[in-house]
Amino acid sequence: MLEITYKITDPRGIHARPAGRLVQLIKSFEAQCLMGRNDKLVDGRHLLAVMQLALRRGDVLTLQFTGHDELQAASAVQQFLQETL
Amino acid sequence: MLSLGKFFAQPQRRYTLAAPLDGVVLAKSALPDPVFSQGLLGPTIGFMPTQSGEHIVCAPCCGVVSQIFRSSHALTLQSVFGLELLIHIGINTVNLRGRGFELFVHEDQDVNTGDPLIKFDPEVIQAAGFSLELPMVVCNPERFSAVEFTAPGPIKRGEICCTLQH
Repeated sequence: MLEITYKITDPRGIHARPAGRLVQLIKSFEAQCLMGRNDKLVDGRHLLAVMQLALRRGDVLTLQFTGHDELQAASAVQQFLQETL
Repeated sequence: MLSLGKFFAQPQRRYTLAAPLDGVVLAKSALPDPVFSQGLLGPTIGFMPTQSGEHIVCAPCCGVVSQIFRSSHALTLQSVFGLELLIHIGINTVNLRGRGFELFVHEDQDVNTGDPLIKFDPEVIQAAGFSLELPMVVCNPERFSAVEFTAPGPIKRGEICCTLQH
């Protein structure tokens, strides 16, 4: 398992569009992904669950990747987060 | 004689969604945001609300309000038959931070088809420079064997705009 954390900087938080893009990106890898805030983690492939995290600016998002391509998945997601959120 | 195959066959089920408001069904490609026009969130239908009349978005199906976005411009419904539906009013309207939207429901509230969900003010949205298209997204299409939307053209609130099978 590989875990990354990221602090949300976008003042709008994670709303529909970035949530959709993020889930789309996660689904392009085979690694399973759990994501969330504190100990509340949800399936990163489940769009509604990710939107329901209702992440705001300042929240620290944790993502855990498990699978043979977890390194690639984590790197791609980290890049996406830095560029977008 | 009842064959075993028939005995165990899964009946095919068909569900429909009611149009959430009066307007025009748009070609998906006419939605001015690639997330919706390319269906990145899932199969998507777009509506352009009519200019006149009440601008109230009503429930397309029976279910529960699973999330209301903080800025009141979008919500999700979990239908009684397992559909996860996103209704998004306008494009980029997250930036209005709730201005121009009035909620009739709260999270976890049960709703019936046709119940009012959100009222929006087209003038506020347009004056702020945002467009009024209303995308509606089937977020869990993997649960269904087929998702079909009504062809582009005028539609009345309550008319069938989507058929799902599983």
